[in-house]
Amino acid sequence: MGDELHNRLLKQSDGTKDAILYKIIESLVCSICHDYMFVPMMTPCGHNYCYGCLNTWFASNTQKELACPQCRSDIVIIPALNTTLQQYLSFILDRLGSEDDEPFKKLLITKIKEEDDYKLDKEKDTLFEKVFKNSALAVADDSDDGITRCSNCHWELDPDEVEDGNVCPHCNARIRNYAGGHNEFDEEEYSEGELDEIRESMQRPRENRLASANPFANRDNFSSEEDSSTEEELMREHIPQGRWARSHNRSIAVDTSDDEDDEDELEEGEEEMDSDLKDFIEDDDDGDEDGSRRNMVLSALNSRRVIITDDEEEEGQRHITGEEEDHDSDFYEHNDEGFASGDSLDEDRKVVAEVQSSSDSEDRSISYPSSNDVGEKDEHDTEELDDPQPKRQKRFRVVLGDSDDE
Amino acid sequence: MSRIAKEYGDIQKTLASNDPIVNPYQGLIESLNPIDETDLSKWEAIIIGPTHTPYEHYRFRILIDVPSSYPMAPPNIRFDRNNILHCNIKSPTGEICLDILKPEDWTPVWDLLHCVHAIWRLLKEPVYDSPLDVDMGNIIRCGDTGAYQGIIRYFLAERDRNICR
Repeated sequence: MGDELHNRLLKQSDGTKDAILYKIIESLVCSICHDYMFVPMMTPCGHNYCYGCLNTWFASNTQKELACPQCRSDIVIIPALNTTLQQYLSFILDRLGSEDDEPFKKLLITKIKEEDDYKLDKEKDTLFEKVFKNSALAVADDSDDGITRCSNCHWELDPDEVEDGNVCPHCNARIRNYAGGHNEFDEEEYSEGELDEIRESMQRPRENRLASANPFANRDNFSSEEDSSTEEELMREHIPQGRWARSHNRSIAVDTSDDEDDEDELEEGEEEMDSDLKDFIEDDDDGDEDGSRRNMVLSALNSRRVIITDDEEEEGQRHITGEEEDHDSDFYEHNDEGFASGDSLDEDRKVVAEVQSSSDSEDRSISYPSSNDVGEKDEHDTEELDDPQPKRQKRFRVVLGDSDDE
Repeated sequence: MSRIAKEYGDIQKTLASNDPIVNPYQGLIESLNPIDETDLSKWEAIIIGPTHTPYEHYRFRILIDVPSSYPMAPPNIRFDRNNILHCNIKSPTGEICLDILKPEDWTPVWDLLHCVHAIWRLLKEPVYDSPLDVDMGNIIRCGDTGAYQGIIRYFLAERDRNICR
């Protein structure tokens, strides 16, 4: 089994062998600089680039997440040296080289220089200009409040705020993974009934908007096919952006009622209903002298009103407290449910130590993670969302690790 | 050797080939060259209008500025002024609205041939939801493809008539 390909290769024509070798050499070329990768670094998504190229790419826009140039996936953990590719290239250079060849000498000089650059950075512990140490991750803990937060200072990351630059608005740390809103709509997150509700609530405002925004719009021209296709677009447009909004635990109705048209419609509906009822009451009142029944109905009406206003107030309050949350870090200190504001780290450290001494991972909590591990821990952080307790401890560790570095 | 210099060599090899595997751009990209051989920061390309579109049988000149930070920053690409009508192109300036050419969506694995090819694709498949030419966008969003294509045909016929004069 293990030597099947080896044996087959030996029986191949020169043309086939050449094609295979050519392909292998091509895979040693960096897609950024189109040159050989003397120090190939492999991203978590499996793509390889020169150490220098990847470094320049990360540094080229410091307001951006760290994304793989080929597949655009977030690079949350530090890329590793791909020794296999490095050895291929060294082997090929060894076999093909001749000392007196000028272009070949140049290749060797570049090789030595690039390898030295990497070694020096590795020794000084400044790989990728420390971008993996001085940056944070956007982490949402669905078992906690589910709000996306900066892994460094635990500040809430509002996708609208980080849209322009993928940077924490509080501690200014660059966020390695994309923290802005994803305009994706995951149908699986909603039950069938909820989906219908969303579709319905979106249909009306969209129609209005289309008619008003589009001078050429003619109702008759809208084919049913077009309608169904725009409906899907719509969803992407309106639905809470990505994980952040969804995880706010707000009902979908609240999310969509951000749309002004919708709200207006709702209010109109209420008013209509109220007046209808009042008419009914007055008619009734004529025949009922003591008005007790009127009072009953009125009180019922009032209580109904109370419920409505309650809802509105609640929504209003939610907005207000939401704003307060943004500005009041004391809130977390005193209602601490696993958040640490930057200046309460020492207290938190004790808390963590206490919490963790009761768990079996005590040794890990006390030996703070070496800075190299931070990225990896963060990764776990995002993955292990099922188990609330260990997760929270890990989050603290991340905070401690990062603060340790500084 | 800088990346753009390497690309120059590759582009020449690719476009000179008649083998569709080596040169998949046959019938799409007629040429892609630096305007001045000694200055690799200014390029021009000629693309051929895609078949089954109003652009068929027409040629379009594209101007490319390659910044010094290339390939970390995207090349700056536009059409000739008043040379084309398209819902994602601002005709008077030739400015192109294409996501991959914006700094936030650019990635260094793209090269000039990819970019020019992407622009050719844009002629073939206009993106109606983010029009740069709002009037053209509105026409197509109403579903009046006949009018959209008619205006383009008229514009291009006028363009060539003016050139001939």
